[in-house]
Amino acid sequence: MSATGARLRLVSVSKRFVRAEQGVAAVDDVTLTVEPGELLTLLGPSGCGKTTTLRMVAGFEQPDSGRVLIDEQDVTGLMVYRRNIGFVFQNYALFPHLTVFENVAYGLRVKRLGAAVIREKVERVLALVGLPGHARRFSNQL
Amino acid sequence: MPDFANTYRLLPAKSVSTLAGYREQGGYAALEKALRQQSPEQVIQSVMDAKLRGLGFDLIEITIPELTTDMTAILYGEATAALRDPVLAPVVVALWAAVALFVLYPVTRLLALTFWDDGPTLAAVVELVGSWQHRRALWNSLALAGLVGAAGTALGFAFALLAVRANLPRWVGTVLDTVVLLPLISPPFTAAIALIFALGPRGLISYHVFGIAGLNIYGLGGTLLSETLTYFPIAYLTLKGVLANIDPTLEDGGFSLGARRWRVFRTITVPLAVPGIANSFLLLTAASLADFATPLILGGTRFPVLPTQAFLQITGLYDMRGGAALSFLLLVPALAVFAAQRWWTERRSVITVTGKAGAATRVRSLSPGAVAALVLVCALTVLLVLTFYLLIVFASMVRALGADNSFSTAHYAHVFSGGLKAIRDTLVIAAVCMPVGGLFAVVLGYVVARTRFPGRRALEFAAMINYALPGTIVGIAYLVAFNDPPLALTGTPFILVICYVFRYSLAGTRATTALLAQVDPSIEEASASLGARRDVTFRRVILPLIRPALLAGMTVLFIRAMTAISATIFLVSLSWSLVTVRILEGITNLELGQASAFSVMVILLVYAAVFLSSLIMRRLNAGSLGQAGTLLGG
Repeated sequence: MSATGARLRLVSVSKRFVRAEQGVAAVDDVTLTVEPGELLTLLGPSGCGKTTTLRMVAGFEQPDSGRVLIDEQDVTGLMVYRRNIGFVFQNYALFPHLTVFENVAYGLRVKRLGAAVIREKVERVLALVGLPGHARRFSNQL
Repeated sequence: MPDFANTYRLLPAKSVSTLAGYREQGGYAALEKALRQQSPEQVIQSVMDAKLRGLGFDLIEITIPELTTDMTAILYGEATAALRDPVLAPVVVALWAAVALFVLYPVTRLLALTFWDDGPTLAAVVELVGSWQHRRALWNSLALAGLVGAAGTALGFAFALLAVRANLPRWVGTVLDTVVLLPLISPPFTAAIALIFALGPRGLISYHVFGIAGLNIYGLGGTLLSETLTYFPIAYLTLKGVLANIDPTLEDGGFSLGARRWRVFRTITVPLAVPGIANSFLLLTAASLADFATPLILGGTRFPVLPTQAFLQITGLYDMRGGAALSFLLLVPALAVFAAQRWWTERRSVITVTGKAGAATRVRSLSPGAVAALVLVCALTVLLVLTFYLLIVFASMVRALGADNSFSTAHYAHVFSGGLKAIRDTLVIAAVCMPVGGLFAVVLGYVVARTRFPGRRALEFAAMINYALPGTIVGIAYLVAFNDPPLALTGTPFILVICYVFRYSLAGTRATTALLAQVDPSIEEASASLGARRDVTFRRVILPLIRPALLAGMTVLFIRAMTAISATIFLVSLSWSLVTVRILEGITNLELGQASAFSVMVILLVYAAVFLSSLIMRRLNAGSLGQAGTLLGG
């Protein structure tokens, strides 16, 4: 669907968590490349660093060393909200105070799109996932 | 290091971006099979056969519980990231600057005045301890605080037992809660004035009912009675929660082992309530140590305590250094009690985990005789409190209570003419305090609970200092710090607003952290990943979610702004006079009717505010948010 994809590169990314004065390596020197349009699966046992790797790509965690590059641009120090990376949370992370419509529209409103554009985009997405007609409900009423 | 180059592969290129497309590719096939064709046992067996480990498929975020715990550890990388945040960093700097200027700086000036006179010196303190009058004040303060702590806790425990364990009809609990709220939200002096009306030398009860002439309520006895009646509601609210949380099956266990009621009470109920009892004792002790209004009216010269001594030293003798030194004497026990109370509450959270509460058994754990005794004690107390308030209302509507009981509107006429300015000034200051303090409280709560920057704990502690210190100390410290340029704030309304904001925002901060504990951090991360800066996330996601905390914080600020006196008395000026100060003037000028009329006005205004805010709270709860009510208690 996306006409242009981006290349993601991790270069020697490491992350340690300090817990009770003991360092635990969550991610140890990971280097990988994801080509544009490629679908990549990280597979492994609990606690092997899948989540931490993804969180560092999105910018929720700061790597101790190494670099994260998107289309060869270093985004390691870039704040989360400027990376433009989609993220699906395990626990949905829906905004409980917003309706279904406003939940979907949130990112578009933050980007200050016009009302008509937002309406059109949200309705298209709701139709895609089989939720038209539920737009005015709150997320905990589904 | 895992070999990623050889462990991933590409999926078939067909579109899987629609639900239908995904199902064409065989999506959800296994789910359909599991739901339609297999029994639960078969599903479990096939999962076990597959020897699946871990949680991860697809490029989906997986929240691992241990990781969340990890994140609360101090993370060097996160700390520096917090400092680079273009919104968070300035906010943290601003919070620190405000706390440093309006909390740390005044206290430092106070200590400097006490211990610095062209070099470090203990002279001021040595001189104080050398004076028998001041030694007595220290001793009196400590003794009074201990007695109020004990008596108030005992009374509160009786009320809590009656409310939680006596199986009385529901309306009794409602009556108890309503009456108990009265002293909590009343202006200072209320109980003291009422006590003079009721039990004074010509008191309505002591003289006119019982015919006792010359009963002396001034001194330890009257102060103790008045403070106990004012502060026992704190004990009641604390202990009610503790008793309600004790699993009734534990008491049932005692009964089934053959113990009788008194033994179960002694060996099970009381020991389990001990943390709550200690907590309540310390809370009341702190309240009594800090109380300025009651001993000022009822202590007299026969019973000096530290807050009133410090006040007289400054306003009567213009001895700032002596006042500062006296407040240092008060600071030491006050901080000790505060630290002890914090320690106890942190312990309690461990102890009350007694497992799942079983079926609510209705064992009568109190004997009929015990219930009767409790009802008697509580009914008498309720009657006394109600009498007090009726006396105030009555006194505000007659010419001179006790001497000339004919109806008169003179006092209210005064309130609405000469007193109108005080009421307006108080409301203006309260109205400014509410949004400023509410926002400060909520931002501080959010920053402390949800971000990781260096010195976070220290900021949290520093912001609490003005709340922990008795108002007299804060008032004197502000007077010392902001009396001359460059920050000559005394005499302006700003100093009152600042004082209230930094002294009474803690309720809102605590409510915020409590609410945020129920909000998953991934909601903020979702907002950030959708492109929202931290301030946008705060405004659009956090603020709507913590509206109840904001409301609770603003309500507490309003009540405090309407009723505060101990710090206020040092900071008011002729151009900005407050209602509580007018009440004090009324008392010292022996115009008790006027003082009563002002008190009634304050009580009505505060009740209206509490009522309004609980209405809004209910609407918030009815909306999208769900629980998180009853935050108004603190």
